[in-house]
Amino acid sequence: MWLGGVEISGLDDRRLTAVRRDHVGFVFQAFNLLPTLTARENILLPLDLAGRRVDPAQFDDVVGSLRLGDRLGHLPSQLSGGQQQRVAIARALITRPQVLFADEPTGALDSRAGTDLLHHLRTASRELGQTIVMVTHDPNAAAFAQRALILSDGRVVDDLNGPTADTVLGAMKKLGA
Amino acid sequence: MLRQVLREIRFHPARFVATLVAIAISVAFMAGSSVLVATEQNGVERQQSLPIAGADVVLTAEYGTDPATLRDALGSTPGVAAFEPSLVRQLSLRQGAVTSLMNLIGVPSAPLRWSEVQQGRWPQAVGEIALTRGAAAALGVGLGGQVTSGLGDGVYTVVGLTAEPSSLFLQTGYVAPAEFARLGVDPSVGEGTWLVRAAGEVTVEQLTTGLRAALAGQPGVTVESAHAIRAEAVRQLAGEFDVFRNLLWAFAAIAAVVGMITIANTFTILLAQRRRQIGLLRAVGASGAQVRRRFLAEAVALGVLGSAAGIGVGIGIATAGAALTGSLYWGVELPALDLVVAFVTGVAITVLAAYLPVLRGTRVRPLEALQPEPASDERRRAGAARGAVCGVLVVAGLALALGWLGSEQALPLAVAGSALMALGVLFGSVLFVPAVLRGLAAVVGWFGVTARLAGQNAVRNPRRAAATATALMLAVGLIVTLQVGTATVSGTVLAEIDRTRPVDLAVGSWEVTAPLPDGLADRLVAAPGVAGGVLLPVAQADFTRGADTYQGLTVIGFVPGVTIVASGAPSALADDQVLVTENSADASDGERVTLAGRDATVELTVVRSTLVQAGEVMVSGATLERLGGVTPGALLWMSVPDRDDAATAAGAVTELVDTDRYYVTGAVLEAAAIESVLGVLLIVTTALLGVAVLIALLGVSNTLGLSVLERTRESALMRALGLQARSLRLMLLLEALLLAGVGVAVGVAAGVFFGWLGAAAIAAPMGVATVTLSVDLAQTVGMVIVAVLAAALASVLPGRRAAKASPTQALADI
Repeated sequence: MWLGGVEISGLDDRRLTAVRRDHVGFVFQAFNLLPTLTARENILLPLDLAGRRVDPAQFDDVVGSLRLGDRLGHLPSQLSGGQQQRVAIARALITRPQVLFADEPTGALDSRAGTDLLHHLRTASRELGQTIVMVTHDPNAAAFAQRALILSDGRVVDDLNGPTADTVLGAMKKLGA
Repeated sequence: MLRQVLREIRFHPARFVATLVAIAISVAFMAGSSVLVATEQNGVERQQSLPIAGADVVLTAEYGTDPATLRDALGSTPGVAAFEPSLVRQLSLRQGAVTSLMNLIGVPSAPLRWSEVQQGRWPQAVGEIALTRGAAAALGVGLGGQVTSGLGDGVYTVVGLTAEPSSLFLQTGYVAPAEFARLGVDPSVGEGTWLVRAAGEVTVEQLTTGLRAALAGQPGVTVESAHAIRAEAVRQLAGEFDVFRNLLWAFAAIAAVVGMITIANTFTILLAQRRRQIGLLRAVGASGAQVRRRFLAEAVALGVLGSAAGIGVGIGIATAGAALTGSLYWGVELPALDLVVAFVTGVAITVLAAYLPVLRGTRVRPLEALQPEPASDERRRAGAARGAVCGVLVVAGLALALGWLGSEQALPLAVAGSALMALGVLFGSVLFVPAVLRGLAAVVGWFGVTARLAGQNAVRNPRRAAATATALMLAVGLIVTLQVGTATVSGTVLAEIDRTRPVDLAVGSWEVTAPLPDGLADRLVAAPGVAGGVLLPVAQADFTRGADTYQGLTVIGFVPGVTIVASGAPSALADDQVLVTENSADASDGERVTLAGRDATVELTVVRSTLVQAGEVMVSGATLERLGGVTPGALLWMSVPDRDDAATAAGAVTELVDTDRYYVTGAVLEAAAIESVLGVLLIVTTALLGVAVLIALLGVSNTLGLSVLERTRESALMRALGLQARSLRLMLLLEALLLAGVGVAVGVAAGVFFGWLGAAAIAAPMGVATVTLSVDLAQTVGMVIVAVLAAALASVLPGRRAAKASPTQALADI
């Protein structure tokens, strides 16, 4: 398996860790912020771990596009679910990963915060030119993507370009039949 | 319910290991010391009654009893098969550097004998000795070897080895009855104990009655059966051994308190982790009381398991100890009551320690407990009330301890004050430990992101961190208190000895005016550790001051060389002056006194000095000549400049001197004696308190281990974000060091203060003005290093577990 010009199949744990740190971003369903760190520290954590310096312009870009500017000094427990998830996305974007994996990013949010977040994801993808791979059960969330692969029992069963909520729902309905 | 509880322990053994070990150690301490003391006591009892082991009836005769009358009465009473006085004396014997306390027994005649010679023969002449195998092994001698009596006044050749064993406190040796005459006991004098053997046809009771009748006219003689005497001896010994056992239990209690903190902390963390389980139980209809009972039942089960293991381990260790001392020969004594008390205490402290955390942890609303993330960390602010109470405790303790320093009651008040302060510090730890940790965390934060994360993790649960550090604080504080107290007392006393006795070592004749043997002075000055010496002339004179006359005082002639051995000595002494010891209030400076020697009587002016001791005065060389009867070179003063060489020098000098005719005194001897006693005391107490430190460190490992379990997802997240496995381990290591660092630092600081306070409280009523705070760096720093290393070690297992978290776990549902 290759990622960003590196073969990752045979790597040892140390180098694999470095690959995760430098080339991959993760956003999880449960926000997975470190409770002891402020929003800013959470966002900068991957860079800190890599020992890299922050590019202030890029930090402002990411934070600005996610509208987190006024929440940076807060601890996760002082943020709403949507804000926490945006911090998680900012953390994933800050390293300019080759790919960002998002696992049900709206799963733990109410529908308004969820939609809001998906808009943010799409903005980030367009403005920052970021590849995002998102897993979801929600046809509305899938509709935000440029391309949707429908999986059933571990196999790709459909491939939709420029999906809408209706086409995704249609494809899903076919699964039941 | 019991089955559920046991299953809980079986399914999650890792959660409970530390608790179980902490309980087991505390209980093993109690059980082990009881069993060992009881076993040793039994050994000593059996051994002490050895001298009457071959007798059926024992006579005790007071001083002044006529031996002839006794012999007549014994010889004419029917049923007496054999009789003789029992010869026993306790004496310390030395071989090389080893000294051992001996019950020295005159070999009884064959009918009254209880022991067999296994190798060699019984001693028959003066200077021969038979030893038990244990005693011979302890002294490191074999058949044909030689031992010296502790006072150096007798040399014995080992001619036989006997079979019966020894104990930790007492060894047995046999000498010929004639030896006792040399030791100052006349075997023919009637006083003491007489052993009587009954002939086959009479019972012990008949013989006792018969002898009582025969000796009715002798008021100072009592007749008892040997059995009754043994029972009485046992009763008396029991008291002494109880003191010893109680002392050990005091140390066990300290270990138990530290254990309780660890147990309470474990339960706090366990309950925090099982919030969801509690919520689930509550949601399906369990009442709060039912949930509490369930967790308390877990505590009972843990207490029972831990205590049972502790009893087993304690008995095992005590048996091993008894095997080392030789008492095991007499069998292991299991004091049932003590063991029950130890077991019940183990269970009780577990339940007691678990009670508050259980009460707090189960007070959860069902829905709150089912929420995915705990609603809040235990970031609750500890109450201002606690701060006020602890502040009052510390201030009151300080006032109590310092206010009366120097008075007669200084020591009890200092102890009470220290106890109050310690309570204040320990209970207030929730208030200041997190703050100190945050400070430390900020400092280590400079070393990079791993260190920063470690620092933040360490203060994340202030209560937990405080409790963990408190246990260590208590244990380390006690040890450092003893270390600093001992170092300060010994430093102060040594300084006092140096001040009052400038002469390090002095060798002279018991007969005062006899010269030292040829060449001895040269050999003594060449002894290791001795830097120089000066020979002084001595005469005897009567000293008259006012109406009082002191006869036969030792008059030492001044020689300029005394400055070599006593730095504070005057470089000259006028002919009309006499140096009188400063340590007596008998004479004051400038007073006129007369010295009457063999040839002349002179009038002199008193100058007080520490150079001479009680019973000695010093005059100029010319004055000494006038007094007459001078023996040149009768006294040798030596200098031992390096205190580290004190013991070597004292030993070497004592070895060279025939102590029957010459004495050895001096500051070095006193210092060496004090240092060795305090040193042994400190080693023993440090070892005993070390158990408490061990439990506290177990607590550090436990806190980390449980936090790691709790943070599995977080560890996985960090790994997903690119934290290397070894960085994760490093993070745990730093957390352990931070926690241990705070505990050790506060413990050391408090210990230094309490140690100084104790030493000052002891010294002040004794009239010692200045107490110099001394810290034995090797001991104290050594202990700190060991504690920190152990804390680092404590982080290894939790660190490995944390690093095992796979990044995918972060993706898994909660």
